[in-house]
Amino acid sequence: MIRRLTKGGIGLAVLALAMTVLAVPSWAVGTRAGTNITNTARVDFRDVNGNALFQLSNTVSTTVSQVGGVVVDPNNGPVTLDPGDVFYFPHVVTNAGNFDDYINLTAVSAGGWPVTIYRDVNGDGVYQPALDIPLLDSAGDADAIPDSGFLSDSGAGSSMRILVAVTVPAGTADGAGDVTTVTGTSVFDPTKTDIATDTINVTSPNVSVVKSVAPLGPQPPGTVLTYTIVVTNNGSAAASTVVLTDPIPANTTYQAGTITYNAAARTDGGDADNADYNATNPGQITVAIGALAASGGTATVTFQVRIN
Amino acid sequence: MSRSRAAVLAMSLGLTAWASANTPTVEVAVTAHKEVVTVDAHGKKAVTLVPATEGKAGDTIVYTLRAKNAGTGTAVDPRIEDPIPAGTVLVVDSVKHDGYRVEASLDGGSTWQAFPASVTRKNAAGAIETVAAPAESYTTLRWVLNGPLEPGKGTDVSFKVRIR
Repeated sequence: MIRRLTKGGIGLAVLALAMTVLAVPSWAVGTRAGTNITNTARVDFRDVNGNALFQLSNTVSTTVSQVGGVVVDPNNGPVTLDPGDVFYFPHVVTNAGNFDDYINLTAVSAGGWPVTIYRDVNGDGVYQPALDIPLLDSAGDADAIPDSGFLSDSGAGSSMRILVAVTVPAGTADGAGDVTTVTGTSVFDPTKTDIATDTINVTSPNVSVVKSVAPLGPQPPGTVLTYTIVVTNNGSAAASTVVLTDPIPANTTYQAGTITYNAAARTDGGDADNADYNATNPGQITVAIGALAASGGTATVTFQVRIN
Repeated sequence: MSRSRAAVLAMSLGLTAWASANTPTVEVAVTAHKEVVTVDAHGKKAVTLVPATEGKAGDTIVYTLRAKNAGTGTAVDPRIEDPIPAGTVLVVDSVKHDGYRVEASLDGGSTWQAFPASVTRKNAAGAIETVAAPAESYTTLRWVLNGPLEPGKGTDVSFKVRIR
């Protein structure tokens, strides 16, 4: 009988802790395959003169047959990542059968994200590029499926640790999610499988620009127009190195010294302040906004032109 | 003791004529069968027994002990004793004891008590309490037959174990 640990999600806050204390559980594996279960009975009796006698029975023997068994633990996540991030999910793979076995391992992202399984050589749950190597097909079954390598059926040698590296593709939308399913399959008995999941929630910045002009509507030449540009990050991750560029419209002339940034004046030159006209980009307003906080971080830029 | 050994030796060599005319010889034969549960098209379960030459964890083995007095004299106070095989756990409610006094040992046969056995332990409150012995704790069973077994007479007992 195999005791199962209840699989529960591990929140981000405790994931780092879980990595270091992920203990190898003790699985109650059945009696080892090949063991002979023998039974010999005995009968004791006396004759009428009180002499003690006994007889032994024949011996019956039952040979324990091999049973495959696989446990893959734990379920990880959800972890919150940005596009482009790589996260290494730690797992323990255990031969829960009653004889030596190999366990084939696959990991597939529901969204088709890149996934690589590494052998966690020192078992610390942390990826070390110089140490931890991609898992290979070692079972000698030429099935091209990476496997655990040799696992005995009891003791420390019955478990091994892996790291499942999932890459969040660049450009993944804010709020997207993904579940990678890690499947272990007994090479001895492919009907014996177990899965664990790695869940990712993606946060990314989502920066929008809204431009307005005053006065509105048809205007005669010589009118000074004030453009107001509001840059807002409505994503659930902070944005960094945000740069606004805006070409001066045709048939208008930029009015020198009219740039404001969050209602503070800025000089036109390519100097220490974060805004310029015609310095960074010819004929354009350029504002290095920098960071915009998640969920509503905003910056407002204004400048004026005159209709030719 | 030496005399009984001689008698046993004589039986095993087939020298029955050498033994005295009223020597009891109770022989015991053990068979092992595995319970195989099949479910028919109507969902009805049927348990059949097949020889337990092999088995796996969780399988149930039925051991049948068949004792018979093959000698020429009355066997007095016969008792059949059988250890619970290593790698198995007794199925406690499977022990057949009709007409016998069944005793159990939890320590390999050093001490015996009436079946089903009990153990004493300290409960959470610190008080001593007596509870049924866990199935895993049984090491040996014996069936004490009521009365003598005459030549030619026999009896069967059985019990089940589960492969660990």
